[in-house]
Amino acid sequence: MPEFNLSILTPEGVAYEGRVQSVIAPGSDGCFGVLKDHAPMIAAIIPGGLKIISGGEEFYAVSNGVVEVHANQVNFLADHAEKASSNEDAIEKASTFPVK
Amino acid sequence: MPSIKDYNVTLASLKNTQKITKTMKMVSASKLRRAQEAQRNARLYENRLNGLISRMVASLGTGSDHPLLQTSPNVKKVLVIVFTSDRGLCGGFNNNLCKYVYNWIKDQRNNGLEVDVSCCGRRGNTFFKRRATIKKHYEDVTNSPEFFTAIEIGNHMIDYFKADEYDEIYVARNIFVSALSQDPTINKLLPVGSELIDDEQSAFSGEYIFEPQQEELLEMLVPRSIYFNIYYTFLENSAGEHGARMTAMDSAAKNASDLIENYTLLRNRARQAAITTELTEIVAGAEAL
Repeated sequence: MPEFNLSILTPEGVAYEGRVQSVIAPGSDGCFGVLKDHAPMIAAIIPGGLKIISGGEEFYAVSNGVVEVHANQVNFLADHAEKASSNEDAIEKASTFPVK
Repeated sequence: MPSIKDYNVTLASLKNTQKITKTMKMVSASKLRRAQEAQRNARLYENRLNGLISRMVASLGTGSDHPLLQTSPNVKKVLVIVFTSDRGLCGGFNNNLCKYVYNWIKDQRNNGLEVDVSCCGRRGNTFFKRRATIKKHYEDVTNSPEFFTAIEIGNHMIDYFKADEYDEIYVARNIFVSALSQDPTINKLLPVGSELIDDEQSAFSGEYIFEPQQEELLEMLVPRSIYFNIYYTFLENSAGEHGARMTAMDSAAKNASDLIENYTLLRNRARQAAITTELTEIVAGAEAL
């Protein structure tokens, strides 16, 4: 499957960086997925689970933030991100984040 | 004259002090490294964030309308958030800053402004408790900087500002120059002002999709820049604290080793004196026989 670059950046450091096949993120207007050659986009994200598919599956709990998709480079800027074991775990972790 | 035993007691306690100060120095050195690493990580985020805000302002063309960017024409009440450490034993780190801020506050008061203080860190709170009105003391926040704490404080500040409770909000902290020197500095936090916006950045091309609309995105991004400033101040304060403690503990360890040298000499002299007296006594006793 075609791949693109993904990075998750928080003030506390780089949470993820690498080549991935797809990512599903909790947008403020509902979850959305990004595949290779996605149109340029800027979207707000809300606390929730983020799923990364790159060979295997990886999950992250993210807090509020914004994502920029441009030229097969997907950059998340989140207040906080931490690794989770499953989607449920990610959502549960995200629910403990303060909302704003 | 102190006995050999007295010297030995003093020496033992000096050696303990030396051990403690040496250890504290090493702990601070590693914490300092971590704090500087955190600063580097944070700067990556800042660059991206500011880039995004600038480009969004450029494509909207109306960025300066944002309420947080508005300067108040006549400033009457200001708030200064003082960042200090929770613990002492770091030389003049906290005291220098508090005195610097206190002088600044006096200047502002002479200019007819009302100045309130908010504190992050126990040392600053202790200092300003009797010298100014404390708006709020944030406890236990400077030890391990977290972005969520910065968000909480940032939201309070934005609320104060929006409610016109304060016309300007400043942050005061030590800027980390090196482990040997920290500079007390006061910067404006709110209103953000136009320096946030980099005019060089070009607008987004027309093909971009925005979710939600750009105005709403900007509405959520600008406060993040304020949160980030607070978070970065935390990091700067923490780097400065550990640097100052490292230096203070280094000189304390050096002083302890000087004292140990002195006392060892004195103890040896006392021992020698005792031996000499004993010998004289024995010789005198033998002669008497």
